[in-house]
Order: sequence, then structure tokens, then C-alpha cells
Amino acid sequence: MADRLGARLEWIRPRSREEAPPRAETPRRPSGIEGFRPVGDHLFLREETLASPLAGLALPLVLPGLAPGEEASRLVFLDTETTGLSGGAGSTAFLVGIARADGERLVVKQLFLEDFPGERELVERLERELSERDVLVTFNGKAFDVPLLRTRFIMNGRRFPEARQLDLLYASRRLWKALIGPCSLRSIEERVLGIERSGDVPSFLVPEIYLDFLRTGDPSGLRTVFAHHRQDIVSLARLLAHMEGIAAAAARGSAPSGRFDREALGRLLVERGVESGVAFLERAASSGDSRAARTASLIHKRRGSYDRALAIWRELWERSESLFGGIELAKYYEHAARQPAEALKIVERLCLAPGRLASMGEEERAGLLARKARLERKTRRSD
Amino acid sequence: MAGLEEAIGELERDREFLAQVTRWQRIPAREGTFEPFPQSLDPRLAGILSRRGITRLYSHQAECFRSVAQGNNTVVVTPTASGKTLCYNLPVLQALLREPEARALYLFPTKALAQDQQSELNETVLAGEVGIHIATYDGDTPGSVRVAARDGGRIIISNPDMLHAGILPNHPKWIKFMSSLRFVVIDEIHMYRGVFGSHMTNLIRRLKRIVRFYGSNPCFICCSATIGNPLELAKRVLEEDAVLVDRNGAPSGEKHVVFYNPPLVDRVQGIRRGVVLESRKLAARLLTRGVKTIVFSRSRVRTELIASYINESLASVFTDNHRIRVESYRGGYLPNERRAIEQGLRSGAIQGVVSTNALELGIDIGGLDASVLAGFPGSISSSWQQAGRAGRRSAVSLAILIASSSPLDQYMVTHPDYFFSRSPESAWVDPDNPYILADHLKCAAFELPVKEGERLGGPVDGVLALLEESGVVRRTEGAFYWSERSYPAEQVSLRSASSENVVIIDETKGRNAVIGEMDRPSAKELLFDGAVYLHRGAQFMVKKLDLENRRCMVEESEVNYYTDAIVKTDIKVLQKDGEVERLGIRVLSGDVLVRSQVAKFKKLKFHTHENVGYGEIALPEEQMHTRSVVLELGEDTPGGAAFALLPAPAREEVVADIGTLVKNVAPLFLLCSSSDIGVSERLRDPLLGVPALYVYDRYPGGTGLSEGFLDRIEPIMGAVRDLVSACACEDGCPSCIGPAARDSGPVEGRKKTVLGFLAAWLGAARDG
Repeated sequence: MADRLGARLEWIRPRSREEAPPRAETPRRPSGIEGFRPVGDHLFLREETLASPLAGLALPLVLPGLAPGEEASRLVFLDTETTGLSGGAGSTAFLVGIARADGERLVVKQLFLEDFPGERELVERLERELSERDVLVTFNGKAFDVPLLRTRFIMNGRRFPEARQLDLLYASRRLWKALIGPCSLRSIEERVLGIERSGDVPSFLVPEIYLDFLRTGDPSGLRTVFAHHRQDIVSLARLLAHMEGIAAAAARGSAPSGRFDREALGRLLVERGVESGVAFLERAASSGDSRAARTASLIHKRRGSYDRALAIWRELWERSESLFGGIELAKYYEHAARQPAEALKIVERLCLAPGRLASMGEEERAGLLARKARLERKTRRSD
Repeated sequence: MAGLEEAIGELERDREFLAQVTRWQRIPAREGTFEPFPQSLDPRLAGILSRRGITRLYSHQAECFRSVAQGNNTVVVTPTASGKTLCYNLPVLQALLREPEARALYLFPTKALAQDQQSELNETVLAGEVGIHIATYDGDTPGSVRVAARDGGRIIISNPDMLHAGILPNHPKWIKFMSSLRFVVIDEIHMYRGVFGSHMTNLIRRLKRIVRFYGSNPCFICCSATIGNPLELAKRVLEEDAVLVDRNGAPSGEKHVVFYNPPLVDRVQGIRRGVVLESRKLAARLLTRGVKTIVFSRSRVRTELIASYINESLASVFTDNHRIRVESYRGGYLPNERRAIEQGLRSGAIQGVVSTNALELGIDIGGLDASVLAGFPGSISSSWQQAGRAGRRSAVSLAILIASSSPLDQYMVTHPDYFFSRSPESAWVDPDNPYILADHLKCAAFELPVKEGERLGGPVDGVLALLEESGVVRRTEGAFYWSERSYPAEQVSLRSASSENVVIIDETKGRNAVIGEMDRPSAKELLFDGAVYLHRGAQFMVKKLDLENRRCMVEESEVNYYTDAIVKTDIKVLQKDGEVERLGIRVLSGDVLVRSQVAKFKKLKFHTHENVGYGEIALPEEQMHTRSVVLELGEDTPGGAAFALLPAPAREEVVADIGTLVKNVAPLFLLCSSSDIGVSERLRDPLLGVPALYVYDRYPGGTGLSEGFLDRIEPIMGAVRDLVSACACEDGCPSCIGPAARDSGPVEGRKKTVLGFLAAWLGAARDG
């Protein structure tokens, strides 16, 4: 405990000084915060215009599901830094970042709460900045940032503008979890986007740095927090652009570059109503991705396109005697084509394959054996 | 109840039984007082009630309805089987039907037992039919249901711990609920006494503060068991005025209360037949005569033993008795097991149950005919509540108290007048205890910044300044803001025991099934490696208690003994804060470590309970770091000198008696319950080298009671002396120095000796 506290203090204390500054009786108000300008009694704003990572992408974008005719400028990248990570009415957002794409440019705004009483100003400012017609793009915002802001609005007697949300965490997990493991924004930056941060402050230390600033009035420790927060927002935009690039290429029929889970992307596209997602899955299937093959065939089956599904199952079955392909074929012969004898042949081959039954899960095995018994009954009857 | 009347008649003629009875009290039957449905009662409610065969109300239900309708906070005293739920459900549902936005919060003291039961009841009995959404919201509520409960629940059923750590700190998520909260129902308010009650009062303060923020002002309805001061307690918990409804209109049949002292088996040593075997004999006798019986036992192990002994007695294949179903019931069973037993009792499929005090209150198990108290439950009010479990509306009922050989039990059974003339215990709270107040003030600041001059019960600027100094709140522009990253409610527990449970896993033949659970401190005493664990008639041997992962692996076993751990407790002073001369003695205050260690266990043979061996236990000790004061009787102080003048053989007894007295008296001054403080006496303290009396907080970290004791030491010790001199007992009773311990031999003039010492000590202190 004491060790942990010591380590934490090391972090908080500005590196340049040997001693922490003595606690002032009344913490002095900072006369200014580097890079920020005051926009209220306790509210500071930093504004920056960058080249938009979204520039050059075809509209409408695939992933956020913008309605036709909606502008990419409806996308708001949102991220907060807070006084506590456990949520609840006593955790405040002291730094809120919003970035909006405007053609070639990305306008990044960081709103900094210099002391608690300024929260009303912060909330009112956000109310002006955000609209219910926006799409809030976040990383884990559905569970964290948005509920927290909603709470802050209520605490100040206001209503949060309930915009649509695109939480990139979920799509990221689908695209990359199998490849890189747990998906944090940090790990995706490193392993997918190729962004390297140096001198970054770990997220769990952020609350302590801010509270320390409130106690001492010394903003120098915050510099790393501001930089960290700015990078988070920029990374959000870059991540969306990256995902969108892959999605758009896949939708166009070309091969997207980089590492990602092809089956997951195909499914994502189909869920968004992008029809060419099916073709993408099929292309992946024919290049040997059996998960993609499986997903494509099930989409066809659901839609009643048995011919296309059958083609995939046959391919799977003939190429590798795949269990999935075999069972789907057997189902098809038994129920749709009413050829139990054909179905039984396949099931028998599945049961005979050395080691196959043993390697199956209990439920799966029981299902297969039940199917076999039923088919045997049916074929005897039809003899 | 022909069976019961017959059984009573048989007992009345049984000489052997009567020889052991020290009192047979007949409490006459009472007619019910009824009223028609109130004119204003919503026809939908009236319809539901009539369909259930209810065509009129008990007078107290009607009185409660009127009182709430007038907007009064209302406290209703509800003995068992007096139709408690209608007392609050009727006025609440009436209002919820009239006002489509109105909402209510029901608070039950425990999650596990009372509350899920109640929710089921409320849902099926009433609200389901009128289409009011009732939702349980507690630690077990799955995340997916929580949102619907928060947004759509018209009645939320919860407990104080959830309100404290789950609901209030997240109140913005409850905006709809909080802004339309019309009623708060506090069931079993008598449970909120002492430190727990002081927490509850502060929790209510916080709740009121939050609902005020959202512009609502709910009415409180409280239900209390029979205690000495229900209205006073409710007023202190609510810090508002309230109306008392205590004229019970429910009818009750004639009640026989019998005090039974088991026969002596060794006259010389005064050893009597044990409670377990005696209660088995009596319960089996009642059950075989068709009397539905509940046995209350004082421990989990005894509950299991008595139940299986009864079942063995009934197992004869030559009679129909083996059809009689008797179950055991206690905390730690799986919820569905408990539900099944409760259901079986209600439907009549189960005729007998042996329970810990878990079934004393709250849970609906229908009416039983007889109640057997296997040992005095420790308080007058518990005794009446347990006795009250027997008795259906207007039928005759029987309650038998079987005394154990403990001094307290022996006193009660040999002085029945003492028992029957004493009113039930009163309950006290001290919400302004600085420890407790400061904890809740932190939570309050987290929930909503505290404005300068704002009150929480009373003015709190001083405590806030302290919190500011320690950096947890920040004062800026006229308000105190929470300025820590932590979530304070998580660090404040409303109860002394942790809620951490050990899961019990049956590994017999690779089964790997969870069969029950147990709180951590009890697990050390009951689930050590090699312990025999009894569970609803089945016997298991503990293979491994894995405290780290909170698991205990057991396997079915068939041994002829059960196990009983030997617990040793000691106290060590960790840090001395100060030592002052007060009242002619030295008083040390500081941090102490209370350690309890189970190092050995006994193997006791079933049925005979003879000791057939010992075993070693290798478990870490249970530690509690808390606050204490130590009264030192060193010879260099006037009080100590007075003690040294006592004849040596009397000294041990006197220290022990003073300890008993302090334990009896201090709670009245500290407004706590006697289980909130620990008292421990040493004839010669190994560290201090003098006779010493420890008075410590039985809450981890302390709750300020020992400091309070030091502040009030003069009036407390004065009251101690007055109590002994005024007590009408012969030579010691539970209200003063405690009954004489059997093994201390015939000590004459105990009271005189103690009184003499107190007079010498306090006299010397006054003169000195």
C-alpha cells in the first residue's frame, strides 16, 4: 500500500523538482494554462486544427451508418478524462475533448474544467457544441464517457443531447481481438495504426494528477494529461478512418491491406446492410478462410439461397471433410431434399473418421449420434 | 387443532414433564377488532382483496391506511401473523393507482432472507393484478434487469446496503425514480439499532437530501416488531415526526408458554440433560401427535443436529411417523432450497422445521402450532418473536422454552417472573457519532456537493473542515466538493461482518456442485480441514478450505461424530494514544488488535455428545483492528487500591461482575446495542501488569464508542453502582452483575462484595 502510494507520488511530482511544493493555504488560481484560453470563470478551451484523417474517404461512410446525404461533419469524436474511474455522481469529467471533421480539416477542442464550480459552464458549452443529430464516435463511450456526461448534465439540471453512438471498441474487438488479444486504444494504436506514444501518462494516474493540481494550483503536471487526451481524440479519428478504409475497400471488391479478421469484417458489412459484404466473405472463403465460408453459407441459407450455400458446403466437405460442411449437407439432404440415404452416407463417414468423435464436444457428439440413429430409422422405413 | 389440544392435555397430565416445568403461563385468547374497507379504497384493490376472501380489515390496518392517507409518517407495530404487508401495501398501492407517476421504495434489512421473499409475495398477491411494476434491486439483480427496474419500477424492493453503495451514489441514473418518490417503507425498523441503526439514520439523511434535489418529499411507513420504544426509534431514524399505530386488531388464540428446565443427570455437579436431546424429544412428541412444530436453535450445528435426530426418531417403519417431514433451515443454504422449505411449510407438506433465528421474522411460513425454543434466544423480544411463530389466527398455540445450563438460561427458567414482567428491550441510535457521521458525510459529498451551512441531521461544517484538511473534499466558492478518485461508499460498511462468503463445493465422485455458502469468519470455525459439515441431513467431510479463493471442498462422509472448533480470543494493545487519570483510576486509550484463533477442534459423538478425540486446525487467525479504552486498576491509584483490598479469592469474580455491569449499562449511555461493544476483563493484564477491563468497538476500525465511553465514564460508573444497589434480585441477575456461574461454586454475597468495592472506588475518586 505504502509502496504503491510512493510510486504514485513519484509520478505526480514534477520531474524537474526534487521536492513537492508545500501545500498553499489557499491554492492559488493559475493565471493561465499553457495553450488554453479562458472561456468562462473556470473553463478553459484549447482549439487546434489538423488535417482530417477522414479526408479522401468516399461518402457516405460505411461504418457509422450515416443516412444518405448526411455529412461526415455530423461525426463528433468524443473523449473525457475524469476525477475517478469507478463512476457515480462524485466522478467529474474535468477534460472533455470533441473533434469534428470539416472537409480536409479536423477541428479538435479540449475543454478544461479548472475548478469544480465551473461544471455548469462546461455543461452549457457542451450543450451548444453537441446536437441530437450528431453521431458520437467514442472508444468505450457507451459504457463510460456518455453515461458519465449524462450524469454531469443531470447534476447541473440539464438534459444530455441523446445523439446516436458509434463505439469503436466493439467493432475493434471483432476485427482485431483474435489477432492482438485485449483491445485497448493503446494496443490498437501500437499494433494496428502504428502510432507510438512517448512519455505518455498511464490512464489510472490521470485523476490523481488533476486532484493534485486542484490542491496545489500548479498546472505543470497536467501537460502530459493534455497531450495524452489530445492523442486519444486524434487516434479515435484515425482509427475510424482506418476501419472505414478497410471496409470501403472490401465493399468495392478490392483487397484491403493490413491485418484484420476477414470473417468479422464481412459480417460487419452485412450487418450494416452492405450487400457486397457477402461477396467479400465468399472471396475470403475461396482463399481458404473456413470461418468466412461458414458465415457466408449461413447467410445464404437464412436467405433461402440453397444453391449458393450448397456450393460452399460441398466445397468444404470435399476439400477437408469438414464437420460443419458435412452436417449442413446432411441436414439439407434429410430435410430439404428428402434424401435420407444421402444424408446417412455423410453422417456415417463423419462417425467413421478416425478420432473425430473423440475430439467432439459432448453435446455435439450426442447430436451427431442422434442424427445418425434417426437417419437409420428413416432409411429402413423407406426401404 | 385437535392435535395440539390433545398434546397440551397430555403434557398437563404428565408428571415427569410437569416436574421440570417452572412456569406454565396461559395467555388468554383475544378477539379481533375489524373495520370495513375504507370508503376511499380503490375499487380495484377492494376487488382483489375480496377475491382473496378478505372482506374487512384489522383495525390497525385501517388505522395505518388513514394515517398514511393524511400524509403522516406512520410506524406500525406488527406482531407475527397480524397482516403486516397490507399495512403498507394498501396505502402505497392506493396512491400508486391514483398517481400514475408515483413510486415507492421498500427497504428490508437483509437481502438474502426477508426481501426476495417479500418481492415474490408482493408481486403475486397484489400488484401483479393491478399492473404495477415491482422490481427487486439488490446485489444479485442482473445488469440486464437493472435498467428496466430503475426506469420502470414503480415499487423498488431493496436493502440499506444497496441504497448506500449502489443507488444513492448513482442517483442521476435514478432521476425518474427519485423525482417521483412518494413512499419509503422501512420494514423491521427494530433491526436498526445501535451502530447499524446510526448508519441507517445517516443513510435516510442522505436519501432525503437526494430526493430534495429532485423535488420530492416522500412519506415514510415503518414496521416494527414489539420493542420497548418503537415510536421513539422511528422518530430518531427518520428525524421527523411520526404517528404510532400499536393497537393490534388481529385476533389471537389462547397461548401456552411453558418454561422447562431439563432434569439433572448429576446432582452433585449440577449437570442437566442437554438442550439438543430434550428439544428432540419434545418436538418428536408434538410432531407425532400431528402438531406442526418449529424448533429454534442457537447455532447452525445444533440446528442440523436437532433436525436429524428428530428425523431419526420418526424413522420407524412400523408407524406412519416416517411420513412426517422435518427440515432444517438456516442461512447458507442455496436460495432455491430455502424457497422450497418455506413453500413446503406454507402448503403443509412439511410439518416440522428446525431453524436458527433466520426464521424468527419476516419470512412467511404460514402458521405453526407449537414453537420450541432450544435455549433462551438472548433477549426478551427475540423470545416473544420466536414464541409468536406458533399460533394461527384464533387457534390455540404452545411455546416451550428449554433452558440450557448457561447461567443466563438458568436464571430465566428459575425466575420466570423476571421474564414475564420485563418489557421488551428498547432500541437506541446515535447518528451523530463522529465516526459514522464523517463516513456518511463523505458519501454525501460524493453524491452532491455540500453547501456551506448545509445540515446533515445537524450542522456539519466542523466535520467538513476536517475532511477538507485530510484532502477528501475541496472547499471552493461556498461548497465542499468530493475531491478523491475513490468511491467512498465502497469503503464504508453498514455492518460489522463482512459480506464475503465462502462457497461450499461437493466433490463427491467428481460432482463439483455448489451446495451452500458461509461467511468467512464462521467458515474458519465450521469448515476447517477435517471438519464435519452437516447440511440438511447430509454429512460431509471438509477436504480443503481455500480461504484465498473463498471455496471449501467437501465430500460425503459417514463418520459417527461431528466437530466443534475451540476458539481463543485475545486482545493486544497496538498503539497507545494516551493515558489519563479519571475517576480514581488510569484509563488508557488506543488501537487494539482483537484476535480470534481456531487452533483445535473436538470430535463429538452423535447422540451422546461425548468427546472422542481432538484435531489440529491450521488456519490464519481472524483479526480485527479497532479502538479500545482500558480501565487499569493499578494499586497506585485510589480505585486500584480499593481493588487490592478485596480478599484475593473474590477479585476474579469482581472484575468479571464489573465487566457484566458495564456491558449492561454502557449501551444506554452510548446509544448502541450491547453487541456493538466488546468487554473483556483481566485479573492481571500481561502487558500492563495490573487488573484491567477492556471496552472496545466491535467494528473494524472502530466506531467511536470507546471514546464515548471515556467521555461519559463518571455517569456510566455511577449508574453501574446505582444499578447494583437498586436491583431487586437476591444475589445477581442478568440485569445487574449476571447470574452466578454454576462452576464458581456457591458464592454468597456477590452483590455485597461488588457494591462494597464500587463504593470504596468511587468514594475514593470523589475524595481524591
